[in-house]
Amino acid sequence: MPTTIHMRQVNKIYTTGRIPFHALKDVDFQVEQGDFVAIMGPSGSGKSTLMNIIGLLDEPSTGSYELNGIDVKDLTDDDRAYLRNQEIGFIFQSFHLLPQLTLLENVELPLVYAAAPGKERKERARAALEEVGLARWQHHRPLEVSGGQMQRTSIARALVTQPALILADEPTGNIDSQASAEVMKLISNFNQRGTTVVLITHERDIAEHAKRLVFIRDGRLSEEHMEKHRNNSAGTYSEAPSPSEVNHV
Amino acid sequence: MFRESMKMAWAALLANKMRSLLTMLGIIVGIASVIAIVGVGDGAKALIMDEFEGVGASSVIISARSSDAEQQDMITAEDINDIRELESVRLVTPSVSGFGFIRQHLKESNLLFYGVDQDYPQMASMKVTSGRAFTPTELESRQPVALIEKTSVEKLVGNSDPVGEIVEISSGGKRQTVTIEGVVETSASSFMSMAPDTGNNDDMPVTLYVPLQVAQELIGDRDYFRMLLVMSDNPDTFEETGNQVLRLLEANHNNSDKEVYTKRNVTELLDQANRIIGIVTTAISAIAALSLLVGGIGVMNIMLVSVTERTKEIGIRKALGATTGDIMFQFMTESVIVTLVGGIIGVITGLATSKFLGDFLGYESRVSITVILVALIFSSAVGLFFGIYPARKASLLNPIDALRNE
Repeated sequence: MPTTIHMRQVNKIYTTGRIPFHALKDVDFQVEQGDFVAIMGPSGSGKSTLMNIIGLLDEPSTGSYELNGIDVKDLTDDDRAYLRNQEIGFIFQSFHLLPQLTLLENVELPLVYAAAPGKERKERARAALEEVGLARWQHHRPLEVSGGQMQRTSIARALVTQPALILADEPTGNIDSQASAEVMKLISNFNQRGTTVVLITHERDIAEHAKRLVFIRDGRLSEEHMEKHRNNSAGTYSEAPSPSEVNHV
Repeated sequence: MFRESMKMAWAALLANKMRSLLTMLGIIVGIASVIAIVGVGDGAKALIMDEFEGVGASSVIISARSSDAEQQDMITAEDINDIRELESVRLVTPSVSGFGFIRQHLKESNLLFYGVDQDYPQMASMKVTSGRAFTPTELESRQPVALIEKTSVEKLVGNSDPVGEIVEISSGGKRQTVTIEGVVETSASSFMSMAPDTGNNDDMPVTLYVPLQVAQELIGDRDYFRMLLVMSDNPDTFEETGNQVLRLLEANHNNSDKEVYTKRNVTELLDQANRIIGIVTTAISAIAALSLLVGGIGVMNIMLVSVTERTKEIGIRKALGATTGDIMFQFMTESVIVTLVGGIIGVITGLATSKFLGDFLGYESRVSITVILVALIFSSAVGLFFGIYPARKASLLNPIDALRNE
């Protein structure tokens, strides 16, 4: 299997305050193409930092990161923008739709930056909205639809460029359970069709949709295999295994 | 991308209509003032040029300097006949005019009268609009006839036909009764109408044309003239023609040592007038253009506010693949659209203002397409220039910080 994400000894140190903050510590992380990985961890554990680095929104302080075989170290800002556009679909907790645009225009946005011709853009955006079941809402604006519908729109926006990787940051954090189920079903469907998914969540039942589960605590990663979890009916994710147990994943 | 940016910019403008309008205000005022001032100035220039187009290019004004000229130096009818004989002279006419009063049916008004000889109608581009012109006999004699300037008709007789009216004209104690034979339009008359309309037409004199000898008798200079207008048959040689006329006059009066005659070039006078109008127009426009600078700073200010307000939007766009250039372009487009739309509103306002001012001053203001284009290009340039800093600021935002911004 080709590797989508390949991180080696990634550290991230923030030096904005007086005391440097070590957000990620020697992270080795690998995701194969077609995988579905959930990252769990308490707030402040470094999961957003990891997410930002995977999503090329931030850079590691040390260590290497390859996305689809491309070492991102020496990329310019514009190269990163291009890779984000072509290879990554983002799904955010608070949707991050532009309120002044219609759902269709929101879905079109990544294609605008991909310089797709107008007609093709419309067709592809419409098809993506159709897939998430929102074709008839395409001319509504985000504030005119429900939270679940907004999140489905952002899924359509993430998928419209047919990226290799979907990055979902607490995708169900702001919607009710029924809408959550729909959203997770959509994400799972896309994973089944071959799209790699990395999901951040702190909800166990959401994480269960993933094939692999990774914990992050104090900037260190550890992994537990789904099989292990599935055999454990009580669900023991409350305690992450100690980092020394599984640091290489 | 360009079309998208235009669409987005337009949407952003409409989202904040009042703010957009206030932002544009400086630009609108600046462009409108420049357009209005240039319109009025160019209108004045065009008026002068039009009026003297036929005459000016090849004419010289010959005059006997009043301080030095004695009785025997004055230009006579014989001189004029001699000048007319010169090969290079196409037309020559003495300038005889004066102020006085005109009385008709017990109503008295101010009068401006011109003496007319055989070449005058052509020289002044005189056109008869009703009645008839002077006959050759009338021009050469002291017939009591007159032509009235079209713009003076209403003043004299209201809506009725002035042709056939008998009026009494007087100047310096001399009186003459004349019959109005026709209504004419001349270049001189529209030139006169440039004088500011005081709103009270009572002060504007009635303009009449009378045979030269009638005019001379009224002003008292019966047999001689102080000033001549000479038109050369070739616009390129009017200088030479002027010199020939001077030499002829000096020979006739045997006074070449006194340098009593001078020649002035009509074109030179026009150029001078145009230069003055040009300088005034430019100076006032430059002051008005300052408001564009102030407007530009206003635009920059609002764009900076807009960038701060839309930090999250910028983050989203960057996450979705917008490059630094894309964001820069979007915000630059927005500020250019603000100033361009302001410029368009300014041009429209300026056109209306200059028309209003033109009407008020009594002539047609002129705004050329070039001026409008320059105004629009300039207002876009203001947007471009003052948009750079905010757009740069937006484009350099870190996407993570931007996304975190709620």
